[in-house]
Amino acid sequence: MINRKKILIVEDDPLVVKALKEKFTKENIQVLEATDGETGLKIALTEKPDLILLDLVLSVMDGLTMLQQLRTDSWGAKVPVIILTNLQESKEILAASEAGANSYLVKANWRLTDIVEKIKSFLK
Amino acid sequence: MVLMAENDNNNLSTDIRDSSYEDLILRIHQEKEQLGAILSSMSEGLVVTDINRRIILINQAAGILLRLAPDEAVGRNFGEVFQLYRKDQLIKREDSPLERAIENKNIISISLLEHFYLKNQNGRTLPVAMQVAPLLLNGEVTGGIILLRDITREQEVDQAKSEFVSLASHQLRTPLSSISWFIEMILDGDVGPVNKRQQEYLDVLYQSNQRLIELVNDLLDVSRIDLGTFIIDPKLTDLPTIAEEALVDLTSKIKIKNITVNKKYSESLPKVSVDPRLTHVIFSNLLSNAVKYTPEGGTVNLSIEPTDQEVVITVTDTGYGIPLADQPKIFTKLFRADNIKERDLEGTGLGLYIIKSILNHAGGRVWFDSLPDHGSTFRVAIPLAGMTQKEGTKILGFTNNSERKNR
Repeated sequence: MINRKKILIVEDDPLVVKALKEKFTKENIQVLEATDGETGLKIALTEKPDLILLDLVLSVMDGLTMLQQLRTDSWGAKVPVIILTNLQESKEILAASEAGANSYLVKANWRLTDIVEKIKSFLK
Repeated sequence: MVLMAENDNNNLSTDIRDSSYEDLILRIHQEKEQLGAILSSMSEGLVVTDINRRIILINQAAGILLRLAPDEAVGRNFGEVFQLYRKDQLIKREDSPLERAIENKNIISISLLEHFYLKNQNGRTLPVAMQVAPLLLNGEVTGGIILLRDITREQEVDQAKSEFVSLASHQLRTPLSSISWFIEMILDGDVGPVNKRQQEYLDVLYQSNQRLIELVNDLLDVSRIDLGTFIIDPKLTDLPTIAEEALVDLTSKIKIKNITVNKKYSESLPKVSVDPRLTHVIFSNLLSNAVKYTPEGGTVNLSIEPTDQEVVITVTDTGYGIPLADQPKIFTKLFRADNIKERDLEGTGLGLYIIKSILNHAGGRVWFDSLPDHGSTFRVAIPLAGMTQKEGTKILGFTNNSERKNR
């Protein structure tokens, strides 16, 4: 309870956010939300979460651009960023990896429980 | 030959002897005109060079591609007039298809997949497909023949297809993942207790949805294979490691059906230069088929052994086997054997097609023996020399675990 972890979910699909938020809250992890890359970047830099879950297809600013801009910040360069998307083209995966994503998960192929486990392993 | 037949059915030599000199000249002239008409009516560009790569003949269509009057091109060096690019890299003269055709006495085909562009006199680049052959006269190479055409339209269609695949992968999977996660939450009791019958029905929903996800993933892999746009990126790989990864994904299915898995990895097995992702797809499909089509309490044997030239992966099961009549069709896309359809077992009819297609592109073989009601043995052989590298735009094989490890 003393060291409550905080994660930021940048995702425009409310259903995905709802499901994740419910699971994380159960695990006593605080969840911040943003539905586009620009807001996501702002919240990330002011709130400094312990981890960012990032979708790629977003309005205003897409996930990849947000990640690139985040990595230019001294704090943002180090925060773990996990891409959570349904895109699985090599182009995007390579670009995300080059931009410094720590992991790349395809939503449809992962159980919710396994995603939560994965995130928790990054928060340790 | 066709020309002669059209002009005259008589024997040519008698014809010449009987003709007056003027007639002969006229005839030669007519033939030349007819040939000229054929060349200028062709929709493909045609260029002929001499042994010094100087253009000696160029037709209308080639001139249109170049935005240059054919007369102005004749006598000039082919490489100077035809500036060819692979993607955005200018192709050096010594690497040009004409050089390769003349030097190696070989016919070179350049298709859409090789991303060749021609920069014309207006500075515009257009995608081209080419066929380049050495010009042989009495067995001696005396020049080169180049056929080329603008493939802007094909490229657009290809682009549209790739975009569709990409869109489908994203859009179809989005609702599928929501369905799966919300069922998962109900099953976990997150929104209250679930009774036994509810759980049973929810399990059906969850499994059906998983099947749909699997089908979408398989279809995407297939469309990439059919488009020929997937990458083969071989690196030295320990095959048993990949096999173990594929088995881990099947843990729950193996447990539920109480299937015994025996593994035998040869001690003298070298690392092989294969694409790890594609190899994972191969193991995954072979093993999941074996588990899927073997009844409860059965056995699956996996072995990996080297021979002189190849590494052979063998997967044997004690399953339903493949009816004799169905055996020739087993690698056909979407084909499912009758005995499997009757049992209403899950499956997409794509797994073996995917394996076969990968091996066709990467180099390797797959074959099988099967006895109905006794089981099947599938073997995949990969050359010890490894898979053939292939550039492309898509990575295949994310079916179970799409995580990309940071290196």
